Amino acid sequence: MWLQGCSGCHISLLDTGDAIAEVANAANVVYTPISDERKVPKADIVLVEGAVANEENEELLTLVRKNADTVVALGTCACHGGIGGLRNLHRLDQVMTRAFLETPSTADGVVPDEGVPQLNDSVRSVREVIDVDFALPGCPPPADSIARLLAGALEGSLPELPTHNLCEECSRLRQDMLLPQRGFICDEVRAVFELDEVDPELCFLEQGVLCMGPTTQEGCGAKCPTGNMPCRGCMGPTPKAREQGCKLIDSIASILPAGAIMYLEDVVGTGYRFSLPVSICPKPTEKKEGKR
Amino acid sequence: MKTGLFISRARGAIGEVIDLDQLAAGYPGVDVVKTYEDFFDAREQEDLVRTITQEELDSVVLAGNSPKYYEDSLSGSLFLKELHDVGVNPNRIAYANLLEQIAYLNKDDPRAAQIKAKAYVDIAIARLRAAADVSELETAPRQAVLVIGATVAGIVAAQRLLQLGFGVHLLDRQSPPPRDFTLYTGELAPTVAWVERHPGASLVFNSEITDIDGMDGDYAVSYRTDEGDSKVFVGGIIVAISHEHDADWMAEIRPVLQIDVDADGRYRSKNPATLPVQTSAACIAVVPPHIDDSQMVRDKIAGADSAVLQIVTTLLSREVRQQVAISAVDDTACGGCGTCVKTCYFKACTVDLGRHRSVVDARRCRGCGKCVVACPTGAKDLLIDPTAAALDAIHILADTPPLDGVRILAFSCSGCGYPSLDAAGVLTKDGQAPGVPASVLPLKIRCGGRLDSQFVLEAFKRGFDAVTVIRCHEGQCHNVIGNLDMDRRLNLLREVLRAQGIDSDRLRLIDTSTIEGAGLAQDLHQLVRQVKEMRGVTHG
Repeated sequence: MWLQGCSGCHISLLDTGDAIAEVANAANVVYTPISDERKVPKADIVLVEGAVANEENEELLTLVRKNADTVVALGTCACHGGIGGLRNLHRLDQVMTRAFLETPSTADGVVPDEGVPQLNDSVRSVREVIDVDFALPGCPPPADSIARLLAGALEGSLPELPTHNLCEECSRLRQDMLLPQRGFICDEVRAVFELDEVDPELCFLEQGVLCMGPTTQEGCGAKCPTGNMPCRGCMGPTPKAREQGCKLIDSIASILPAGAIMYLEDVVGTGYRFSLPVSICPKPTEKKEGKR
Repeated sequence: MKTGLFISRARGAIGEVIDLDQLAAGYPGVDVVKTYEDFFDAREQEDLVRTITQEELDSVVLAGNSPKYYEDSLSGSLFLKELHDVGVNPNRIAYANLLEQIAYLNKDDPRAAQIKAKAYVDIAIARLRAAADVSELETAPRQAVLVIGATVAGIVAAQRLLQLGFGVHLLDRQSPPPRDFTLYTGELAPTVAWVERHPGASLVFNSEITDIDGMDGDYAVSYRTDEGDSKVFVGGIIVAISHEHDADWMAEIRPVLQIDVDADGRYRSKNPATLPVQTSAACIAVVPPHIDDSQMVRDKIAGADSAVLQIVTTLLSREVRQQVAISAVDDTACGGCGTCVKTCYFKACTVDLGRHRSVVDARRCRGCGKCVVACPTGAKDLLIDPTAAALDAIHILADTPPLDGVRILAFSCSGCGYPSLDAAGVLTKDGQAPGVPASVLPLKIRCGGRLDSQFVLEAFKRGFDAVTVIRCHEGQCHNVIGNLDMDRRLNLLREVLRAQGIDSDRLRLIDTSTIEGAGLAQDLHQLVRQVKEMRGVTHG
């Protein structure tokens, strides 16, 4: 099932290779976003990709919950709202105006209102709309996690997800971070491209690069830090943290020069890039005032 | 959990403003509800303890006086110990501050006072539900004391301690002889000689204190001299240096010694009225509170006597207990990132390199809660100020009807903000302060550093018109840098508020101190006016 998403989770599902072949052997695939099936059939398990952004998403999801024994929220959009959830920073009319009337490529734009599902006022994660039985975050979730999930589902037991932050899996060296001496771990905050040389072994934070690793759930195998890029936080917050953006603020404020972060980084876009809909922040509809 | 709700009329001071029968009637689900004339009447106190024992209560709400009556008073803390002995864990005692912060502050608005009384009793009960038992470290107190400063007070304190049979380490960073001339020429000359010759005394000059860790009854003090590094173990510490002569030295040792300061950087005692030489640690004293050259020698000696008595009272007990303020680290959440290590000022947090997990040294931990807030995975909680209790309180206060057109949540740090509100209450009762508008709803937090950004967002989500943090002045934070880190966090949080279309002006900071209650009351009146204007509420 594919709601508001980019289909990346489905691509990752196809990436599972042998695992998906085994599923095809052992089970009937009764519904996919690219099949002609119009109705939501009864199913033992449904994987849902994407967030709930419009009335159609909501309707489909309600049907899924009714017709499936096990519902899996697959990927960060389904679990936490995902990138598309960033539109919650704005009221719907602002979003529509921007998208259909104001973009540079627009000529004689109209806001569509017929023949298309109407967008909801705000984006919600699947978990905010229905109860799910399992949530596998990731943008997209790593193929091997999906493979484990499928293998488990075939045997009737869903796997346990790891619950630490990404630093658990990251092999980069922490030196100053572990030194019990209060203080900033670097003089300034920089983007990766501003570094003359990226130390491939040393913790990004210690190099002054804002890395979302500490505030992000493990499970991806720390792919980005291994590939010499800082974590962007796509797995979303760890289970015990209520939300990612606040945790970013509360944790880095005393280890990186906060002034520099404000100057250099889009704090909101960085902290909430993947999880704004599940933030404590009031949704646009709950606000009394508009964005200034 | 079996809970007792005990309400005090405070000899009419509360009863005149709040209908306590009506309040008590609102809690039919609580196991025992009892109203007393005065919590500090000997017979009634006995009855209270007896009720707890007979009914086998394990958690207690004391709705009446401010918690400062228990926490900042020797006898108050002994009463808490008594409750502990009859089976009430220290963390299962919650307060509803009906006297100072409701009956006094809102004495002209009984309707609001009644609503607030109910809300704050609700919060206390919710806190009991959210709080886990705290454990305590126990130690047999070491029978030795560190005296810092070979001053008149220092020498005299050393003499008293030696005479009582305690070992004394006297440290000074200057060279001998003891700096105060009167010590050699005046009547104290024999005292100096006696102390110097005493076998239980060790006098170390030209020394620099490098680290102090531990708890009441058991401190490890590291110092450096020309001959190298040394370490001594003592049960208590007396600081006998003056602000006038040793301001920089005082500033140096203040953070490690839990010494609070006022606006001039002078030592501020835990309770200037009743515990003039005590810091927030029972076995650390500063004497005399305002030592200077104009002070009479006899005052310095009296101060030394007080300090010795205070410390010895604790050191003579069989065991000294210290609460473990912080929970264990949740190994299923902690990834060993080290954020807590860099956040802690007191070097209490480290990462166990073998297990790759954070550990907290309870002996070093001051319970400020900064690492709890900083932990990106939520792997810890501050047991003495749990996250769940704070959120419950925010929800309860958000559900009170607007008492004055608007609703303002006022986080108040236990170092300055909360005591300053207490002071504002007392001054209002005496006609020296204008009270505080009922729309200001205080919520005590451990320290500015305990303020989780999520609390602020939660408050806005729940519809508060404004959020303010009442905290210590810059440089006076009890936990040294709790305020500083809060500032950094809130600066970033304002970005989030703005992006979310929430006017960041609705988040305000108010600096105060325990002697500025009247000023605080005025600041809050002004805040309410501004918030009403901002929110388009007409003045009522």
